[in-house]
Amino acid sequence: MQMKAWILVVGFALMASTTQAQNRELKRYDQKIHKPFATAVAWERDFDAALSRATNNEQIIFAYFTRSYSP
Amino acid sequence: MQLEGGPFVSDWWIKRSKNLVAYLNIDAFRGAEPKMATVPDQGLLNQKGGSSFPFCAFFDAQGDVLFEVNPKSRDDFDRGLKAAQLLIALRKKARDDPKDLASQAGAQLLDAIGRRQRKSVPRKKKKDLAATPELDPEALAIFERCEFEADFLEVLRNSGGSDAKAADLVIRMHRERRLPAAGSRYELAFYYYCAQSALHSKDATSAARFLDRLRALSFKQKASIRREIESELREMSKRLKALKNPAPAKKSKRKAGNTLGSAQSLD
Repeated sequence: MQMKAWILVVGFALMASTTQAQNRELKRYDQKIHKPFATAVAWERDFDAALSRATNNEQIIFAYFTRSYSP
Repeated sequence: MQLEGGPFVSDWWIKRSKNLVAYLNIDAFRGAEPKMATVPDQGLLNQKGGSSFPFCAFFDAQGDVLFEVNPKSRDDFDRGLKAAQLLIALRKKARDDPKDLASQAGAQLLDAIGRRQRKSVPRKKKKDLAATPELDPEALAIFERCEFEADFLEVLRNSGGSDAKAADLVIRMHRERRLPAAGSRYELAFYYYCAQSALHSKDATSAARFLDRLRALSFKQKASIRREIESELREMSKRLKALKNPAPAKKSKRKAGNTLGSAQSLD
């Protein structure tokens, strides 16, 4: 049975808005990782990589959790 | 954001970060929006017990939170780092010698103190741990500092915005020798209320001592706070001077006038 036209329209609109939201968030994330604070030191952005470095160098990790959508 | 435009771009942070692994987690999705595969470690904050942003903590190499901090001040950061390093050392000692109850208790105590967002430990439990014989003196000092700060904040809350009530409660803490550690962020406010209380109760000796302390502390403050406290110091110094050299009472002045009048009249 063929899908009703209106379902396709609604479905595509939903997919488009999700993609737009993701693109917007990715853009914000990209802006955040280029801010002066994020480039001032060599922050690890992958937790497993941070754990490896901490193990190899016998160092403590300092973690800072923030949001891409905060100023 | 305050941290991102302040401490995290300072020379101080660039230097500090060389002796540790700095990890940055940027949460890139809101509410029900789907996680993005290209952005690493999404949702890690909740997994580690954090509940709000910003979340700052020292972690060990196994990925466990050691000590949460509020790194807006360098002192807080350094104290948190010291506590995290001590926690690692005490855990190692406790592992190496399972009979070492003092190290076990010290590690549990530091873990309990270093919780801001993660599930807290009751104050009674912390006090019991702190009472363990032969507890590491540094762990005990960290605990006492935190206890003082909790007590002091409670006093401020209980004073309901009244300086007089706060002064009354703070001087009781002083009498009980519950004092701020050197360098505590509450040291200035503590001795301000002590000085106010001494002036109010007309205890010139104690007031002079507290004002000297306050003056010494004012030099360590940033310019805007120093200006405020200097103005308070001037006002309190005047009150102290008046306490030490009370002006003659009005009644006796009148008497003097009368005497003079009598003398004149006698002449």
